[in-house]
Amino acid sequence: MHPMNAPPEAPAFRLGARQAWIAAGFVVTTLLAQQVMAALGHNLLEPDVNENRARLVYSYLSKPEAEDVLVIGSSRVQGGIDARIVQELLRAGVGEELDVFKLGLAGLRPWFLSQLLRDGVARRPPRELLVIAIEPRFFVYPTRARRSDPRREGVSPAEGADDPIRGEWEADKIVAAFWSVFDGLKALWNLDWIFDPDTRAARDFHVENLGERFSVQERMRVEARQARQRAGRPDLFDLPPGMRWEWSAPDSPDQEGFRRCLEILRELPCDVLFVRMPLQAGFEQAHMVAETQRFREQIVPRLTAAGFRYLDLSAEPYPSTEPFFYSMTHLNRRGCVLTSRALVSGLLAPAILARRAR
Amino acid sequence: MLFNSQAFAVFFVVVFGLYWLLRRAETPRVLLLLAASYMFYGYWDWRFLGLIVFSTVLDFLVGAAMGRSTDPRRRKRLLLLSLVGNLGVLGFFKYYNFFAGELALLLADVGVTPDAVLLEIVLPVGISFYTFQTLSYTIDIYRGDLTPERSPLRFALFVAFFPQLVAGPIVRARDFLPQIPRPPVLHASDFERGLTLIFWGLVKKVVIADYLGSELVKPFWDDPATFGGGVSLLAMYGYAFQIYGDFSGYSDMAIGTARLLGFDLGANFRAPYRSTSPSEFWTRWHISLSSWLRDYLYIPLGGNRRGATRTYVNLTLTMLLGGLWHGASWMFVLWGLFHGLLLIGGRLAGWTDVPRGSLALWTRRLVMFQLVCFGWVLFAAPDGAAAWSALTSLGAARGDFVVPTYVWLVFALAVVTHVPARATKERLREGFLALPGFAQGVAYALLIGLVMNAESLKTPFIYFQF
Repeated sequence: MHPMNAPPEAPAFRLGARQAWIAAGFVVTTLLAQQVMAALGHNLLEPDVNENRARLVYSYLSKPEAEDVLVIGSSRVQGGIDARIVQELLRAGVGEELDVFKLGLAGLRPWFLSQLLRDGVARRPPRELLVIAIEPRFFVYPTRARRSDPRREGVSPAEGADDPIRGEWEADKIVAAFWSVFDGLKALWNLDWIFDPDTRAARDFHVENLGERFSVQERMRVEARQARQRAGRPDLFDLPPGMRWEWSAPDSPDQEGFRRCLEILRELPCDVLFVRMPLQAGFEQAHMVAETQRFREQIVPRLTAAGFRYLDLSAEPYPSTEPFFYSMTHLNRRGCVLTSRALVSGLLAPAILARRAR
Repeated sequence: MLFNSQAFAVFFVVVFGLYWLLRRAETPRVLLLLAASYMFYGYWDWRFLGLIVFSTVLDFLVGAAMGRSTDPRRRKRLLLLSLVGNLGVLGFFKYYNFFAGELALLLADVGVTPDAVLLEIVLPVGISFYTFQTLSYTIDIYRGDLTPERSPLRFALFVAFFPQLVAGPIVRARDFLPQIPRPPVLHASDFERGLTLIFWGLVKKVVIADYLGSELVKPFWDDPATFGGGVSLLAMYGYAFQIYGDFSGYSDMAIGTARLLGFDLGANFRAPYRSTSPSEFWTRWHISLSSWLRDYLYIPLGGNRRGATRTYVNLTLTMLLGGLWHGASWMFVLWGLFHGLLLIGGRLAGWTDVPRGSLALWTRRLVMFQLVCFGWVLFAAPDGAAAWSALTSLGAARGDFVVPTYVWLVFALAVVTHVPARATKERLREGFLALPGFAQGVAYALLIGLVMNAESLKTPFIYFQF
């Protein structure tokens, strides 16, 4: 008899001991998973730093040994450079297998970069090259700091934090702490752990989120769609009314961080190269004319004066048209492939060969 | 609010608890579900709640007036009012720019250059689904197949019931409305079956669809020229499983969620890639839409009752409109036309019965799968050039794209969803449900871990855009 034709029953919620056992199995597994993963020697993150950026940094710091080539940059590097392609092309160009590691940290700024260099790179520098993708955004910030969330924008606390933000942060922390209960379950499914023999052998590695490496690209796609829907407002660099970009003061944490970066980089045994990632044509004119000019006049000369090579991929002949971009400033897969190739042929392979010749 | 989001998990736990607390009193129970449904929808964009309320009020009043009237002409006028009102809103939000732009192009071809007024219109999520749902209500009353609902609250819940509001299944009033006043009973078996559906739907959506989508299908559509022929073919198959996992996963979650609230929504998918003919495909794919099109379009057009030629015309028209239902794009129309022609071809080729013998059966299934995948190329491509580029990539010797190991694994899982016969899958399901409760809980926890891993892909459901 179809349920619809059955005579109505009195309202009832007829769950019993068996369903309680289902709940118990769920809760016990969830709680045990963290302990099991920790016992296996895998690092799980604290709830309050449960962010992609922290995960990637932790992943880098937990690597058992230094890489040959390290590429550091913002989300433009995360979605715009493919370490696998770089590695393959270097093998063809240099004639040997080199280990390439990419650290694309959304919202990276000099203040944070200097800490990363001091606490990570300087202690275990890459064997051949360090490539840093630098950009004018490193040195500007929106004037109405309340709109800026220091966690997401990477703005140093002195520039961005105030009470309302701290309030949100606390709420976020509570939410993150709640969901972090499931971190152990997530870690169990880390496929690198299961399939990659090197990772398995290393044991003490950070358990990375399976989807994480693609989430940035996916976010860029959503961002690009939203940008297209906002006619005349093609990128998130558009600020709300009443806000404007301001060049950071000489004594700001970012300028201070940049100075510290240069000091640390001068002492590294590897070669250090700077690049600027591609942008869509017209972006600078629409958003950061004066800031880009200051970047070229004040920052780039300091790099070259310090003896570092600088390659501007945001100029011709590098990708600059829409088919290569998710958004005005973030490359899509096609742009990523081209840029990775350009980076190797224009900078990395010649630098390594020159280094070998010395 | 996405089913595979943390927000929904919290939302549903609260609604579930309150609903069963209020199970004894119908009005508070219905009010709760209605408020929850509006909140679920408003979480995405509260402004478009007005459209749902408009459809609800219009069709409730039209239905009531039709029920009171015996005058055929007045009943026809009322039906027309419902059709114009609902399809007018749908047409404006979904098709205005498309037709205004196309008209301007057409006029430009004959030398007239009008100022095409294109508007920045955001498509309200789920509008095609609830519009068809409310239309079936007034059409059924007009036909005398349904008596008008007297309670505006029940009717509003029928229109806005959150598990199936934004992406179906499209439920019929005659199936759903009688369930609302019935005292809800949650049997342990229904609870467990609902839970299984939700979890399996999550896996299909988050693990199969999102993973294949992000890792294989999206890179392919970004630049098919970088793909070799074999991998292009894999990407096309990948899209077939992505759209299946995405949409049937949503349907499973909707049906499972509704079941936990004591409602039966009916099946929306039945392993569609096991189809041996075009007509069988449409009895397995998006069943609630295909049966809607059959009952409210194909049969009123004459169905197969007026000779072969008229049948073919009716099939083509129905599928063309079915294609257009998915969105304002010539590619959807082309996809609909392709399926119309496929249905005709299936009839001409005598593909009406399931072939006997395993070899013939699986050969037919394979052929049918290739044809459906070809259709998906038309469906997924933004324009003809992109479709052509995708199809020509099949001839490429080799490309740059390397298929990650995980994609092969997920692809294999996707294929496995279609290989076992229904009876085998049913046995597997029953076997799982027969496990001790604790073991089931362990399995659900492990699945949650898997789903949360892939959840950061944050891919919206494909069918939300329709």
